[in-house]
Amino acid sequence: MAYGSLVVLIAAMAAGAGTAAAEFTGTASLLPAGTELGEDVFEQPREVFRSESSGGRKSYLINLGDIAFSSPLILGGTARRAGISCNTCHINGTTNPRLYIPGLSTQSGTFDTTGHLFNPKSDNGVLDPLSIPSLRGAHLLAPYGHDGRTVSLRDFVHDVIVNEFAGPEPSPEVIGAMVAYIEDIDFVPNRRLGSLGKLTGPMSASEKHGELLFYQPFPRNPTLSCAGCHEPLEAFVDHRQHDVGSGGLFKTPTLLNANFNAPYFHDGRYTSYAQVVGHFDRIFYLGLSAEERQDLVAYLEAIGDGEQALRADSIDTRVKEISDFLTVLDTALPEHNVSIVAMTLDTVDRELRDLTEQFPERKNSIVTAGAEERMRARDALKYVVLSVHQIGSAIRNNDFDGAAQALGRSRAMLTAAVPVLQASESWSLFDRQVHDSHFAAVRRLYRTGTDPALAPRRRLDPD
Amino acid sequence: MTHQFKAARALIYGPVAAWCLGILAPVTPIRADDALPLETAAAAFKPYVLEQISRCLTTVKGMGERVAARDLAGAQQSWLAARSGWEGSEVITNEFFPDLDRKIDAWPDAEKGFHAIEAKLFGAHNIAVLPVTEELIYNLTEFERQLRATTLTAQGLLNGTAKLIYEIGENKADGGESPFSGNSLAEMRVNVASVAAAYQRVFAPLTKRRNADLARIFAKDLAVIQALVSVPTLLDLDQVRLRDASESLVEDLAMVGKAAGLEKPRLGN
Repeated sequence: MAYGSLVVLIAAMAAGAGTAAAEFTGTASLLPAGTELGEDVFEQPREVFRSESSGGRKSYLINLGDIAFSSPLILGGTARRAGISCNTCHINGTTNPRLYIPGLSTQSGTFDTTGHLFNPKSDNGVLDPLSIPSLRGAHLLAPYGHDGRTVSLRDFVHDVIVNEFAGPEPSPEVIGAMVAYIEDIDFVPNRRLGSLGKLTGPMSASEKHGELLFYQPFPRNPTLSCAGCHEPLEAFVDHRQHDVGSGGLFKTPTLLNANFNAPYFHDGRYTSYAQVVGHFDRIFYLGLSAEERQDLVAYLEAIGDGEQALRADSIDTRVKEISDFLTVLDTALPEHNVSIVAMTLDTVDRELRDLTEQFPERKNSIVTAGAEERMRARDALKYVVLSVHQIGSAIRNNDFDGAAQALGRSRAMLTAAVPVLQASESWSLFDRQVHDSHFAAVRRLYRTGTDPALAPRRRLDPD
Repeated sequence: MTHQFKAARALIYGPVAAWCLGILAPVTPIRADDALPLETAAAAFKPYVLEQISRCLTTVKGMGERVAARDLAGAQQSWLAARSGWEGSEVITNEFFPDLDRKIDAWPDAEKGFHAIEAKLFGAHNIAVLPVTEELIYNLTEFERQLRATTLTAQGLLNGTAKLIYEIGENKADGGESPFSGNSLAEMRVNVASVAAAYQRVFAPLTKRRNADLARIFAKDLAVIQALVSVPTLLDLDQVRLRDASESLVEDLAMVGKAAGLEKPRLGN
């Protein structure tokens, strides 16, 4: 059972109780009490890959990069042991607005990359969390890092792995693959945006006026405008750093798909466009009326939109991802590339086990119907896990032919499992009602298990 | 792993995946001279789990007294002791008594069962758990009654043991099954001990006779898991190795079942 499906890790609180409980525990969790990783979100960011959009398929390198991105094994220390991967913060290569780690976050969606927990050697002694950026369209958004300190995406990824998360030196193949994967993540299409970066099609008067304001020179400094930095023809960035009253030089963020990228500013200080517009109005003395502010917000919402940017998690999506991951073995096995095989098998195993937990076990107190169907789904997936495990067993025996045969069996079993999973879907966490009921129960349990005197306190989000 | 050991493992595991897929012919019918001892051994395993459940029930009753006396520390101690008995019986709970398992060990549930009590006692330091403790006593009493009336079968024990081994490999980085009490590691150790007991008492004699190499592999893989859970705290668990070891042991057990003429274990729980 994946007991931590909703990662509200309050367990460690018992350790600090100052009662007899203290002798029972020690810290029960690797992450601080009150941590949220947002794993209970029903709708997930949709992945759009440039390779697939153009009618092709994801290459070996892109799939390998996706695997590495989802693998705690490329990180070190606490992250590796806690099962944290790049994907934990950048869900499907985007952001994670729910992520909150006490001591490293000041509000949801922010994270201090120079804190003590994940790499004591990088600890700068200051709580200076940054908003988690989406990686959609990253190939258009250099330089990298909020402060734009790194021109090369490869160098930036290397820094994150080794310095921020104490990972071992990654192989050139792995880091190259991660760059290939990140560069393949595209923006979710927005039909309202024309090829010249202008709104197109039917638009409200407010949006239309907002667009005019966006291009309009600032009253006190006519050399500046919103569009001057957020250049519509350049994915709404200028690849430069500015101090816009943010307390330092930070690069211009893209506005594409930005509706899904809150909180805003490098430190995540704003949770809405209204707050952002208010900031610029104040700092640059724009003198906007309430209506004009609203118009700018309407415009930002229009250009920041995306088709199905979020959508319900599904069996098909999960199975496709696992199948894509398995394709890496078609190259790595003949090459006897043991380290790549090992990372792939580990990631596939985790994904399969996670998929299994989408079908609640029989002792789940919330889901009562479909018990037999759920059991069959769990049974089928566990046998796929064992089949994948046999690939690793064969490799350990230096039997690469046997490993290839086991891979074939794994694929066959995964394919055979799909109808079994689909037959159970109505009683799984892929069903919205089941999902919501299940996680409401988890939250109730954790609320019940919270001592008000010891509950972690959260700084309130700005209004 | 020695080369000889690896080779033996490879020989044994060659057909297992195909068998799991149902590609090979049905398993060899159990021989008459082995049938009785295996099922007898399975039935004879009942006192082991009955002892666990009886101990669990007695301790939960004691917990009820501590709760009535508003003795938080005493109730916590009783809860921990009771869990040992419960976890020691998990090779049969889900397989033979799923409805009672759902009432006794429900997850997630803030209203009934062990974990509702755990959340209050250990998380909230709240002693107001008398009604839910009384309900737990009722359900454990019923469990004990039903267990006495049930004949444990070899196939059922194979299924239950395989499910439990698989579950031991689940990720515990979030605090595991009993996060509020921090008792998850202790529970895993009891799980492993009960797996060892089920294997030794029910399956080992036949396996040793029919496939001595497999018996050696099982013993070795079991020892790996025992070593992995013998760490000081949950935080010291090597999750990757534990997962790998649990999957190896489930495979071993599947082969043990095959050697015994049983069907492949059912892993859905």
